[in-house]
Amino acid sequence: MSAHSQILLTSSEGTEFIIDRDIADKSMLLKCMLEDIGEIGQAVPLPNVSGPILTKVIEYCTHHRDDPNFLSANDDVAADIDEWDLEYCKVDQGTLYELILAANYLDIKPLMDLTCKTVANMIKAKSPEEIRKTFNITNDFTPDEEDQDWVDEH
Amino acid sequence: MTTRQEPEGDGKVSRSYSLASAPLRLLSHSFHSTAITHASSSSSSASSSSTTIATAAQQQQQHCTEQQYPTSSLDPYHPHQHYHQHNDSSAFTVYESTPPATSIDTKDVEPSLSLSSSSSLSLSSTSTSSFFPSTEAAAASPGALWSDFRHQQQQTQEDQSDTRDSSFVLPSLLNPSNIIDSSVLLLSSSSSLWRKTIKLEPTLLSSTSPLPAVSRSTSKSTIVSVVPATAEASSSSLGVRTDGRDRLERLLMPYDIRYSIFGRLSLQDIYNCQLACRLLYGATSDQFIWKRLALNVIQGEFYFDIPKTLPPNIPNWKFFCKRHLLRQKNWRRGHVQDVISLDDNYQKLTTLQIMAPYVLTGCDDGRVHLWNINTRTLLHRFQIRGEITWVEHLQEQKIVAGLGYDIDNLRSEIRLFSTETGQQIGLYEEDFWDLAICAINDTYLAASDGEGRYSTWNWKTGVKVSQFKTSITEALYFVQNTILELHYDGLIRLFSLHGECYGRFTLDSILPNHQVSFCWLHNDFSMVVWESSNTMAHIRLPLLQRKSSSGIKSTVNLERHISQEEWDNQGAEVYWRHQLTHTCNFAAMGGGRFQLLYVQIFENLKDHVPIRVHSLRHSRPAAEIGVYPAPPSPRPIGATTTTPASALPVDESGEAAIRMDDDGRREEGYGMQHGEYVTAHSLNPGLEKIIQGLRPSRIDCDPEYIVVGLVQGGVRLLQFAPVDDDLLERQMYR
Repeated sequence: MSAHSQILLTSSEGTEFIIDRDIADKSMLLKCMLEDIGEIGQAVPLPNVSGPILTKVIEYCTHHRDDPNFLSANDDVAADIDEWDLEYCKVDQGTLYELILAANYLDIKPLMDLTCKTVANMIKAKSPEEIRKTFNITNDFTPDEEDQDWVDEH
Repeated sequence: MTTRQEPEGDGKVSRSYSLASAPLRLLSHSFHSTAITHASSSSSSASSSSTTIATAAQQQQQHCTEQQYPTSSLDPYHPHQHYHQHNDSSAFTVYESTPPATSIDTKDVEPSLSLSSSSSLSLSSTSTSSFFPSTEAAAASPGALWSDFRHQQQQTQEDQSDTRDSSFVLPSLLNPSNIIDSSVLLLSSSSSLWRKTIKLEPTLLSSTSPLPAVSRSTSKSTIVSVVPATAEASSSSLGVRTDGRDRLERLLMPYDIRYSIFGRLSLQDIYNCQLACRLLYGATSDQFIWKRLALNVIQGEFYFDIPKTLPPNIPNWKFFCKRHLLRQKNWRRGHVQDVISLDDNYQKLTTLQIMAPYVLTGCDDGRVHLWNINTRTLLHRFQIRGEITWVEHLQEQKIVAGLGYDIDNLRSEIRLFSTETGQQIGLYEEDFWDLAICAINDTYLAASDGEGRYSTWNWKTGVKVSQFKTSITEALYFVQNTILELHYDGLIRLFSLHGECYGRFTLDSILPNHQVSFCWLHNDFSMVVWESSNTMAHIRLPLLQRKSSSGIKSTVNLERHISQEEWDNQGAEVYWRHQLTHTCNFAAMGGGRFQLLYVQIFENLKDHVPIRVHSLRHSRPAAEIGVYPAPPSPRPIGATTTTPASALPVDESGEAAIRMDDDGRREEGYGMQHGEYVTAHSLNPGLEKIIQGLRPSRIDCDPEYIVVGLVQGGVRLLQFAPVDDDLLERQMYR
């Protein structure tokens, strides 16, 4: 833990973050970037990630920094989300979406799996109307375009 | 900040707008506050330019709406963006002045929407507007950004008449291989142009109104009504619906994200998403989703991975999924969709077999017909002397074999034909004339008469392999290179090709009367045995095929002596046992993997005995099943498989094993589902009536079809999959 090099990240609005190298390595994008450009003291700009979201992402990576199976994050559906992760995902929808997009951009697969699983759970076992309510969308089909019911209710 | 509620009834905002205002309109429904962060292209320059445009657009929007969006609320994440009040012209100028910068960047972005050269601004407007199909979504998403790009592109390349593919690359994730997928999402209300070029998902018609911005003068008013509070992005209050939609749209743009979210949802969930709104409809239309769902739907049902009887053109996996779901539903409910007649001046049909996509028939005048179901054509007609008592079609070896039994001349002959050349390739005869039973595998042909005299040949070389004698044989099958024979006394015997007996095993415990009169080996090596006391049992011999724990079938070495102890240990699994109500002297039987039909018919047609058509269906795991013998009375198949399937019989001798997996889970994948068969019960009465009405003399079935051979000659195919033309047609409009 000692003498880990530190990385300087700049969010889209210019906020600067200093994180340890091993935390930054959780992000494949950063990892590759840093491998390529080497240990230059300059900041890595992340124009697609805003400050608060970047904070959240760093929080996730920091919590999982010692996680042994982090990189081999399985997409086993049956695997339960652990307690901390569950709490982590209890944010408003907008933030959740931003997290997904940030995880996608930064290429942090486990975070992406976690957040996408959260969204998938929001869809699961809901009727179309409930889905609309959850995601705040309106039914913009014209009546004649509605699909027939060809899926049995099992 | 003020929450702007666009009037609910104002779902369709007026479409009229002038060409001149098109750029303005683009700006007006510019974008989400947070769009800037995520409308990233790979280069930072692009993003900076996008920022510029974003700002400009925001300014424009700001101006148009005449609203004071508190800067803070608009995007707390981007405090450095300020909204100024610019007059239209200046903002517009800003917008227009940036084309060079953006077009340079966007070149790699390649916003290649295939608006053909005729894409006048109006068209472009239409198309752009169609990015925001929901009228409420006047607030732009990053879609606007690159729609801006594209618009730029158009303005600069308007005269180019390139017809690019209607695939366009999102600035964010450039993933050309998934262009179609992402394009589907964004074409959620595709204009007619796009509908031509994207065949996969005609998705949603552009009946949704485009963005309302009309002329500059009117744009204000209309935009006012439509522009939502874009600043909702960060707020958790779910005030305005459009906002949720835009966020979602932006979220679902990258392929990877859609893959992660929708990749594991069930069919029902995906279907519900499709019904929810156009955006989700488009987002869940990726092929990978439907391929996975489709393969799940038909899992294990066919003997091949993909059914071989397919309509000629399958637009996509969703169509495939839909077709098979409907087919299964129709099967359960007995709704025959189509009756196809295969006629070739048939006389009485004596044998019938369906193995997709072929139907093989033999009649009593010695003709053997091979039909292809997909094309509904007769492929071959072969002639054998005598009445056909057995036919077999080997698809890989491209052989049709048939046994003709000529009573008048006391001759039998076996002829082999090639389905490639249509010529006869082998003729086998024996001194003993009453060859009646045959079996063929990839190399060998075995024939026996009723007395148990056997001859075996290697049909590839034409050389006779052996001749031996056993005793009365009722049925004969090849399992690998071992002959499996069912003896009249209820014995199952295994022989080598040379007549060496590997073992004999009794079915006494299963069939009380020892007078087996019929036996039928299912394609998956389970057997149905039928004896004169009218007991029918469906059994599986673990000896024949061992299932490993992973569910993969491993072939068993049968060419060895099998001791009695081994037999006793393995035993026979009884799936079900069934007492028939009427004595009958004949039965026709056929089945697919999970369906089994048998028809009790009487040769004497004067007897008005109802024909029973029974079908096996899946049941719930054995744990839910009661154990009492099923009454033979017809019972309609429950629409779902959750009817607690009565009667998996208890085997008195304890041999019956309805076993589950070690951990109690149903086995997935190919192969018999352990303990999954229910006892035979009736088909849907309607379907039964149909089949009875056809007066079947033979029957066979497949997951997709029931083939019925008629007494008076003729073959009918009952199809359960929806008639493809209808389905295809309906598909086109979705």
